[in-house]
Amino acid sequence: MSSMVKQTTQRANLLQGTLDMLILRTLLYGPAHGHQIGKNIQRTTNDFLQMQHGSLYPALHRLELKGWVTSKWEMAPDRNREFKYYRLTDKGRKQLVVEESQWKRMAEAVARVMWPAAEES
Amino acid sequence: MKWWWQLKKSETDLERELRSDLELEEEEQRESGLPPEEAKYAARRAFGNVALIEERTRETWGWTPFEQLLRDFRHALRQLHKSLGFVLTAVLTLAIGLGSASAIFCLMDTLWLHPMHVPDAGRLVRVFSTTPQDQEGAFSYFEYQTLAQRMPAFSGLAAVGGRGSLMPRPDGTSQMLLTNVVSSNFFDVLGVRPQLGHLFTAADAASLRVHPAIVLGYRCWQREFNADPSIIGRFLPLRHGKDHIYQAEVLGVLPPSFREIDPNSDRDLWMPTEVWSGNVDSSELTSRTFRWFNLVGRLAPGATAAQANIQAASVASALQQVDPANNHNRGARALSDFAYRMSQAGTSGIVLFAIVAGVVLLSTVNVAHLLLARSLTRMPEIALRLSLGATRAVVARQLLVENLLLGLLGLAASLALSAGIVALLPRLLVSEPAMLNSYGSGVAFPLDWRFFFFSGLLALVTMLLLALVPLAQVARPQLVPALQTGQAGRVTVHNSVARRAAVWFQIAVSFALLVSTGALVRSFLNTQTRPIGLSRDQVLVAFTQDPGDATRETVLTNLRALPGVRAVAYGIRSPLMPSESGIAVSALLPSHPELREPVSIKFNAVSPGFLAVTGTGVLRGRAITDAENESGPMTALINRTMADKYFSGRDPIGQLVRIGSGTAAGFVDARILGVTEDAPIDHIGEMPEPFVYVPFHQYATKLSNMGEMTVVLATAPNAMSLAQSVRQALIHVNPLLDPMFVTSQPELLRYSAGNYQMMAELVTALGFIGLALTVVGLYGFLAFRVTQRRHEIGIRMALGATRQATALLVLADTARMAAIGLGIGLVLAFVAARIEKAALFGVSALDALSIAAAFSTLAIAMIGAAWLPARRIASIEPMEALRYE
Repeated sequence: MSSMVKQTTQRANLLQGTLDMLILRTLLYGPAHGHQIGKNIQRTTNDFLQMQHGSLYPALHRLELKGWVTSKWEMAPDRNREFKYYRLTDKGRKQLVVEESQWKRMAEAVARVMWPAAEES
Repeated sequence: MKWWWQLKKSETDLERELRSDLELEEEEQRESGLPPEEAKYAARRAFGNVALIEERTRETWGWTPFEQLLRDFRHALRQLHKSLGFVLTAVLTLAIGLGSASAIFCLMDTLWLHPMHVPDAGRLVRVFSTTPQDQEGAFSYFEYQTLAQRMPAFSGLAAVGGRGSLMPRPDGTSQMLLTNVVSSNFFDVLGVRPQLGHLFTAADAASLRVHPAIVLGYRCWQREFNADPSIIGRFLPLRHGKDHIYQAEVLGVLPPSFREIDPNSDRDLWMPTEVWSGNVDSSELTSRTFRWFNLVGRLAPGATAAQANIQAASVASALQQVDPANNHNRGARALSDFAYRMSQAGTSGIVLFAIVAGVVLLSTVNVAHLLLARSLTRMPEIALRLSLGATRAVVARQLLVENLLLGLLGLAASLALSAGIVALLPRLLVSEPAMLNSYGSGVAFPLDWRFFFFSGLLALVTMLLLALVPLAQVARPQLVPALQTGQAGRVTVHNSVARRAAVWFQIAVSFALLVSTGALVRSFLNTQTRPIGLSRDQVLVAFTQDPGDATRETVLTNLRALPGVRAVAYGIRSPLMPSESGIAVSALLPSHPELREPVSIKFNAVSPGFLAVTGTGVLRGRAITDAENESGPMTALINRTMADKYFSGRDPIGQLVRIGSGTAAGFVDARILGVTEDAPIDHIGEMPEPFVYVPFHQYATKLSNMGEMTVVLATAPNAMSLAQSVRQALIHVNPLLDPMFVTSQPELLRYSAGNYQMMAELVTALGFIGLALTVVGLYGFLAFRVTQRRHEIGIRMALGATRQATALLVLADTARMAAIGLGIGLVLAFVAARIEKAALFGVSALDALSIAAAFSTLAIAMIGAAWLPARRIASIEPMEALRYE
């Protein structure tokens, strides 16, 4: 039991930084509820990134705990029903910048290892 | 509980969020053209495991450890609920052990251990004058002053002496107020703060000489003055002797928490020595040998009680060098107030403590047994969980939580039980002697923080010990056999020797307890039946003023005329008189090397017939008669101990003993008339010591008139029924003769044997609790063994063993354990006997009768405990037992 829990946590940790960044980036367009965020990421990447709900909701709650997003129950304009809308905070905006630059550096580093010739030319 | 509501709110919020998003997904699926039923499943598929999502999301909140604990508690509750019988037995056993220990602690704490209610009571030190006979003697005021000046270990040394003051009533009679005469620095040294008004200090000494002032005790203030706050500043009339009345200003009232320097006593009035000296008797403060002050000092910063002890001894030896005649064999010692109170608890305290420890151990061992048996039956369950991947830490945590819960239940039950016992204590204890015209001090048993601290600590230690039992099981689990058989009875028990030893131990402790019980009960019965040198007949005792030679006869004639009175006599005091130890004279016996210097010997000045009324027999020679009047030469009677000690081998009758009152009158030769039997002076069971009786008239005229008189009356009906008429008869002669108290010799005897009665009652109760615990423990062990050996017995029976033979197996097992247990028990009883020797009266601690009684009681109880398991084993059906294969 416990070993299984350990493994999942490791996988979540691997994804965590990226997922957080993607969520924050998505919210830059404006407030959205969990379903919208998931759908949006999926659609934008042409279904390349399949959104796992098991990761999405814990991530949202984690971001809220850190104060990067806030949440509020609001009426959806197209459906006559309330949804839990997440909204980017100022702190979250700054965090997005940080994460973005980190990701850029990471991607560059990975690229340099993977395609060293391209850099030389 | 705030976090709990927040958690609940977050949970409903999460549920709602997931539901609304799931519904949206479903709607979208429907909109894309799927039939409703399929849309639902498609949404579910897209979402995955909702419960898992909830679980993971909750983990991010950080509540998980709490929830785990909560889950462990719920699990533990379920487990305990499933085995109510086990829980009830364990909790009850714990409650009996811990509860009786807590109650006895409350008793001991109130009677002995509780420190004075003053700041930093741990720095208080008691100083005593010592002689070879007495290690807790008092000092004269002169000695106190010398010590106070020459003991740098103290930042302050105070003196306190117990006396009585008379407060006149309008009708001419008086109310006696128990008075502590204290040095004026007393309250400062102890750090007592007033409840009302203010207290006198050393700075007031000069003004107190001219303006008498006193402080009231809280209970006296309530009882005599209806707690009237305007009493402060008023003048209280106080009388000394027959005619001297003086007015003392009431300065303040003490708080209810400070009643006296010794536990369980109470003083009405606190008077500075300056007032006593100026209005009552100045010679009692100037005399170097009138020793009536107890000393209590506060240690200077950095000083220790041991330093104080050395200084006290050196001051005493200096006094002896300067004035050897008045300080023969006299020393001084100092010990911390705590050490003093522990010594007061003495043998009774140690015996009670040991017995309570025994009962706690018995109950703990029983619960350990239960837990062990339970964890064995749970072995398959635990093995299954471990082999399914639960970590040992998780299983251990759950077992710990279970034990914690069990311990908490036990603690709650024990607190309830001990609170109940404590509430009953005042009724169980021997009440103060019934008295007319006087007030007892009244003992209250508070359930204070010390009680709860002790109970909590005891429960904690017990729980920690018990927690080790199941943990030992988890540490080295044998998974395979446990899983294979799925049967507790078949799991090999490694610690069966330990379990056996536990039963031996229980039998041994129980046996020693029962032997002690027997000895203490017999000892109490002896105080009630043995001849002790005092009559058990109805004798009324009235303590009053000496009316003087002129009216003494009138008083006696009036008293003799009362219906129901058979004989009247009087002395200075009566035997066993409360709140006062025997008074003493100085005695010289030139013929004896030890008595070449004067020695202080307790005495009484008595009228003819006094010994006949109180019931002290004259062994040789003759009693005091009317012939011993003031005109004749001084005479005396001595008790047997004095005759044995100072006249060994010679006939004391006709010999001379020189007697002095310690005041200016010097010494008078007294001819010994006879030898009396030994009679208790202050308590039943005290060590016999030399005692002298002198004729009242001769002592009053030739040596000193104490001004006090105690009338003893042999009565036909119950003595106390005549108390009121005797009091009226005395008042009728002169209101000033209103007795300070009236009580009876049977009441004094009952009270004096109180300690024996208390010990006998408590130890009997504890002894039987111990016996019950042992029987339960033995039964538990045997019953468990029978379950374990089912299979083996089945085979034996299948091979032809008879039912009697199998039942004998159990009985033989019991007999072996009993033999070993009783062997150890004899050793324990022997050790206990050495300890409790001093607490016994007229019975040896290793009393054959007590041992026989303990043995037979325990034997019957053990046969009872073995009976059911033996029957069960005899009724095993071999086929059934073997079918488990």
